[in-house]
Amino acid sequence: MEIALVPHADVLVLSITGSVDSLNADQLTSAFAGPIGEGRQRLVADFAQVNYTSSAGLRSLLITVKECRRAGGDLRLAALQPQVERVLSIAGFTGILKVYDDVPSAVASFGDAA
Amino acid sequence: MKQHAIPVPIQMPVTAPVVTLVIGSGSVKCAAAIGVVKALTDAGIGIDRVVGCSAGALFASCVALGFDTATSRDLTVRTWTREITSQRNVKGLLRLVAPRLFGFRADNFGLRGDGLLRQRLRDVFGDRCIEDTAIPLHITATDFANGELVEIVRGPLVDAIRASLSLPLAFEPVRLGERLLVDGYLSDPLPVSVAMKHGARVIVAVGFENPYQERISSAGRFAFQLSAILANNLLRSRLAFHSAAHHSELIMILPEFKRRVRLFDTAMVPYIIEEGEQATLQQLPYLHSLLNADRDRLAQAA
Amino acid sequence: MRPGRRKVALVIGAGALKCAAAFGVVKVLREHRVPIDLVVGCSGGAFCAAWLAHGGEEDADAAAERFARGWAGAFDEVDHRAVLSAVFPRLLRFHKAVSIVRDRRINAALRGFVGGQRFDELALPLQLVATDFISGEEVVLSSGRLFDAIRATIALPLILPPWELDGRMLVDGGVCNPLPLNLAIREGADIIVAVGFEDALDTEFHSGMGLVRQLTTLMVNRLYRAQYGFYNLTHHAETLAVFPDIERRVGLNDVHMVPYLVERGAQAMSREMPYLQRLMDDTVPRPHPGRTQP
Repeated sequence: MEIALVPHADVLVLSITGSVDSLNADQLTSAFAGPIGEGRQRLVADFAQVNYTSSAGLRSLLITVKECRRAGGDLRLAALQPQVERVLSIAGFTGILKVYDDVPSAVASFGDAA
Repeated sequence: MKQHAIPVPIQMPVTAPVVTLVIGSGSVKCAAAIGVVKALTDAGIGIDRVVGCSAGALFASCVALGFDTATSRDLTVRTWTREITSQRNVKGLLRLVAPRLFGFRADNFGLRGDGLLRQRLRDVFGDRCIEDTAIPLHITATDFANGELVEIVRGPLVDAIRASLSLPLAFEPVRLGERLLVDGYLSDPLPVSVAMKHGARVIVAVGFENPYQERISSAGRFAFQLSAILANNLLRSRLAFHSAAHHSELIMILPEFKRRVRLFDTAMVPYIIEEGEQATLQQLPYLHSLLNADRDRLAQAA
Repeated sequence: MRPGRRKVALVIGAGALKCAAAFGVVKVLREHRVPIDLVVGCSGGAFCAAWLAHGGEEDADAAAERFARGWAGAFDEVDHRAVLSAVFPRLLRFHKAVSIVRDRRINAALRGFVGGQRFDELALPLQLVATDFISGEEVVLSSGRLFDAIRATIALPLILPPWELDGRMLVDGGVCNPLPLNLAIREGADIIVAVGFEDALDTEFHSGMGLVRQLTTLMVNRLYRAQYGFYNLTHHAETLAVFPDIERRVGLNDVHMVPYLVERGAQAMSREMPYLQRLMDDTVPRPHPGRTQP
């Protein structure tokens, strides 16, 4: 799994390539912890290149979302592939997270709110 | 001269990759589990425990007894036909319509006689008991008084499957000890919680969502749709909770059948098995990596 | 947690007439001047939720009484033909939307309660939950006319006709998400006051309809608990469980019980107030665990 960080104004987009599962869960949490620790609160996870996710992978994503929200921000998802969206839906994640069709919409959703 | 033998450390056997299999409710679609097991077995992955709910209990029993693919497929086609629900329980029908007149009681409201079903289950399983199966087996039902999930781990297979398969309003509930048991799907259509309770590290859960109708053209269809919405939401919410709460890795296989499969479409069984096998093949790359990593970790700790 | 005031959400779940207890909850929140940032409602909970979001000076007890007067008589007209057609579908023609009660009275009561108000006229953000009966999906209603949204979320299956809105056939939100904490979580609420009502199980019943009700109740309770457990696990901060103790059975027509229900709601909220107060007072900045610098 690879993660690329791309800032879009004051929103940070993390583009993930590969699989989000138990084998790289720690890598995912660390990759997000860095920006959060530096005070970046508005994050978008770009899932366009994520082809697989498992329950352990979702648990690590959940840890990250909670950290963001505790800091007053949010982590939003963009560009879910159909099979990944299905897993997130069944596992209840689409109910507790904001999900967008593409990165620009996810970035725009943060609006101008301070 | 006697030479002292140098002690040689005993080689710990490498743990074979195993998963716990959970088969949820889904009527004839549960036959997909036959395809799942075939794919797992062909890949050298073993099954250390099986959990079955509703019709899934029938297939879970086959797996636990070590029936091969051909045997399981053949007995499915012989056992799961529409005829098992055709024995109308006339008294039951009357009780539903004019309850006070015909003495309505919670434990005798089933509309269908279960004689044929029981006979067919006996033909397959004889008087074998759950506790005698080669692979540990758990069959789930629901306590009618409080909705709790009930795990059946001993006693005749026929009785346990029949309890799990009470299909409310179709077959009578089953009395087991103090409890009145109804269909397992009412408490949890895909009971991964049972696998987690028994310490499973990797769980392969085979489940089926109820298809929705596009047109609601009768009261019966309305009730059916309502029941489907509730069951699907219950399935998802239970999965969501347990997968978020527990450390075990959960591989979910919820096949979406492109061709419509009705409750007793046994002609579709070969297609259903194929779908199960294909869905599992897609999960194999990750499953292999996961099990290998797990085994390496355990071997290092040994 | 970060410095600054916590964002507070009030979520009022499904519970038919028992939802009147929510007015008692709001009474206690007001007494303690707890600021609410977001209101979420499902099914019967939508009435109090909409009233609170509207803002204004009206006393909670007066609002509860108004709610009771509107509700009274709304479920009196049992449509016998519909009941029979549910049992003997082939004998009687099926109506497009099967229901036992005609909705004339509830619609009139609802119009009396919310008039022509729109979501964007409300003082607080409000989200209501309904179920799309064809796709089974959760539908979040947060714009347009309040009347449409409340009418949709309270469309109890087989009791009230579904409500058509924007091409969708909507029914009671309680069928897919009876206590929608997820909506508050998704909006980043830090403190969630969750007002919930679990359905009492029948200890005995004497008919096929009673049986169907029992089975439905069993499943909805299971759904409720699983969702509640999941939402708690996924919430980054604190959810306060305000579950009023309602020891008596409350039927759809028991409006005389509203004062009792309001009192039960107030009691349940009072129990949680000390902890809520401490949470609200906890605005002292603490270092973020991820930081290495102060």
